Amino acid sequence: MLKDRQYPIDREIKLFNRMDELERLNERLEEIGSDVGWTARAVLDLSLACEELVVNIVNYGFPSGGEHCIDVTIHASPSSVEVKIEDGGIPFNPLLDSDADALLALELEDRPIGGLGIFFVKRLMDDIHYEYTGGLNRFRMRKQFRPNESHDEQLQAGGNE
Amino acid sequence: MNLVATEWNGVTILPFEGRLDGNNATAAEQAFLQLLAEGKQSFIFDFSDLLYISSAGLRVVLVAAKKLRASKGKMVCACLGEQVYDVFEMSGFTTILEIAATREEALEKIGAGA
Repeated sequence: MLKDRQYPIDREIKLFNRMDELERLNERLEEIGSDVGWTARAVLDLSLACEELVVNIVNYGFPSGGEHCIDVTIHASPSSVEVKIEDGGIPFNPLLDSDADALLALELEDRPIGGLGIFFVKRLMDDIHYEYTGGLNRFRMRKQFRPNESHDEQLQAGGNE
Repeated sequence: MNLVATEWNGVTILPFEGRLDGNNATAAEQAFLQLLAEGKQSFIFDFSDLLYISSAGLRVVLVAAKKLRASKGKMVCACLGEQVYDVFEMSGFTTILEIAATREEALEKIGAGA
């Protein structure tokens, strides 16, 4: 299938709605990055976008508590990635929740604590989409890495003394 | 994250390592607040070994900066790595916080240069 060629790696990461799951999310993203040949920096950027969304779900998705699943699906190619994040928490469109541009101009004293997470997602990722269907929050984002982001910079770094 | 503060000329240096994210931001904030409660007022947040920061990590930096501004303390963020610098810049933190390229420059900015 054409789709398979576009994204040769297809992985599911099932997380519980707990902060300590960020560690596992990150490990899995590093694994995928090394399998598919992303730079360390591309993995960090993707990790940031995913963390911000997962943290939102952990913090606000399940106000009545309990253990729930957050399904993260990664379709990866050497030059691009598509991430889907689904959860059965309360309907919440994170894209409506950020007016960070206004925050950026504020002085230190006036800066609210928070409000930057989704702004990072918007800055780092392309083609961001949210819908609530079938009782699930479904978030999708894509990223086309710039050509120099898909080379292995670590080889260069290894050449230093 | 293993956060062990050191003292130099009356300045508290906090060397952050690895990742400052939603998983350990609360612990880092508690460590800072503890030092503040002990009366420390001059801080260098040394990010030499910090590979990654998220908005949860920035929150710790912002809380610290606000508290120290309110108490007329001082704080300099030093040795930001590539990802950490970019996240600071994206957030406008490079203009509202004191930033130094090296620990020496940070000590100078804080008025405790050798």
